[in-house]
Amino acid sequence: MTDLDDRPFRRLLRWYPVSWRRRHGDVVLSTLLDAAEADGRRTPTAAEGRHAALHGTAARIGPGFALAASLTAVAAAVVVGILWAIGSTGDVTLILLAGVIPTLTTAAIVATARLRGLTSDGEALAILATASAAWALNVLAALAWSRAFDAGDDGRPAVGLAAAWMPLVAAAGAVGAVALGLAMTALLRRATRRSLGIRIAIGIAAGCVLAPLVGVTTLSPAAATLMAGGAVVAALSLWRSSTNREGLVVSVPGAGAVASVPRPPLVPDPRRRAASRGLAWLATTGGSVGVAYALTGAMWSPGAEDGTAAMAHGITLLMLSVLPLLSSFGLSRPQAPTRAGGRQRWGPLLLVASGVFSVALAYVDAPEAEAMQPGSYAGAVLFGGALAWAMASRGRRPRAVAVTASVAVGALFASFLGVMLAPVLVFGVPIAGALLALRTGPPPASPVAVSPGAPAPVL
Amino acid sequence: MTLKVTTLYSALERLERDGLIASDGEEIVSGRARRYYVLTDGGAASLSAEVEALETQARVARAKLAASRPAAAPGRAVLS
Repeated sequence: MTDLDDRPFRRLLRWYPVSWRRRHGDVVLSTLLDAAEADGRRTPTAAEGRHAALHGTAARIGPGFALAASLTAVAAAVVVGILWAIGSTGDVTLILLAGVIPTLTTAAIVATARLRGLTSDGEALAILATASAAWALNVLAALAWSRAFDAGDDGRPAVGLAAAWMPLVAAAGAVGAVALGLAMTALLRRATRRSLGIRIAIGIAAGCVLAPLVGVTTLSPAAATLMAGGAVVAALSLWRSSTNREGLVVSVPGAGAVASVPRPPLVPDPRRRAASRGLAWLATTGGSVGVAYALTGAMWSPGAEDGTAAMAHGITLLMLSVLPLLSSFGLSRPQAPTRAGGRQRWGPLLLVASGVFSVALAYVDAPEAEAMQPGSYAGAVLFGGALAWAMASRGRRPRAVAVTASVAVGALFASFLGVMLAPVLVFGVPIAGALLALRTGPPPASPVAVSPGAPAPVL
Repeated sequence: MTLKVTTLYSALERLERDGLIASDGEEIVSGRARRYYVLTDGGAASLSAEVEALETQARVARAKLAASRPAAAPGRAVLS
């Protein structure tokens, strides 16, 4: 060891986040100094500087970054849901939909992909930078198009930003195609052994096709909600309770040798199975009547004066059929070994049941939208709560992460999807009921007790 | 192949995250920090599978190379 001045080498480490430096800083510095001494250098090489800049910047898009970006996207989507509900569709909504939510979602997904080993550090940064530029152009294009549309409506000539809507749309599409092409090329590298040229060609072709579709889709609040929710789920996959300081999943060697905890029996007792099956068939029957009434009630029922009334009554019937379906689902699972386990199973189901009941009541007033709103929104909030409860109680994640993410996804669902999805999803009740009934199956044949050493029956 | 120190640690971090290697202690040698890594069971299995795949590829390549070579001309002496 010589009296090498380590300050130029320490400066390289500033590219990395503090948590990374705390964990790896000393050993990386020592290895850099060793390499410099071996080469007879007193300063880092230019290549070392470039590599530190690349990996250090990439190290900043870790699990914490992914979770923070996705949760911020969820918060933005909740704001869009609220703005949408009160009928505000101005510039703020457009900026959130076309730029903020997609950029944050992209950041969360790119960070997740990098940490999952699907992209290299360089690929991740290139995709993130290009996609961010594309989303910025997407915002400008959306605002320009909106102004041009208004100008056309009023019979005014499009000037300023409005006049530039077409080049902006083209630029957003082109840059978006490059970002998607980069992502496709990176993913194909892991999936195929094709040459770089072929992968780039496939990536560019896919980018050109997908970019306009992706750009237009983001203008839908439903798509924004799904994107943000998906990003949270992806980011959450990086977190487990057995995490190190950076929140990364660590496999502990020999962990498989830990004494296994006896699992509860997988098959519930015959009486629970029979009750579950009966309730599932009840849900199927009630749901089938609901679907039939919704679609044909206007033709034969004296209670349905038109198709809208028949649809509303049918949806109410379907909603009520969800109640036996939920009970059936709860009973189809093995009995929870602890009281806390029971609460975790039945709590979310009870909230869903309350939500369904609330929406069913709202549909009694259909099609009076204003009269329906309180029941619909109460239902959506209860569904969101159920989703949050179910998410928080599943998986082994740090409690703060699980609760924050679950509440965010629950709020996201409550703010937008809950109101829209509930009346659509209930049409799946007959199928879900039948599947559950068939899965539960007939009760198993009574086992014949055979004592060891018992004489074989003589035929 | 030359591996930059920062690239090396980026790779080590990824391998550790994937559970293929694990840190096996640190020590200070001549005033400089040293960290040692060991292969985990999963890492050894993964490496073994990679080696197997490489051997298979090498075998196939050798067989194809041998098949594509023209047979040695008769009567031609080879001096070693």
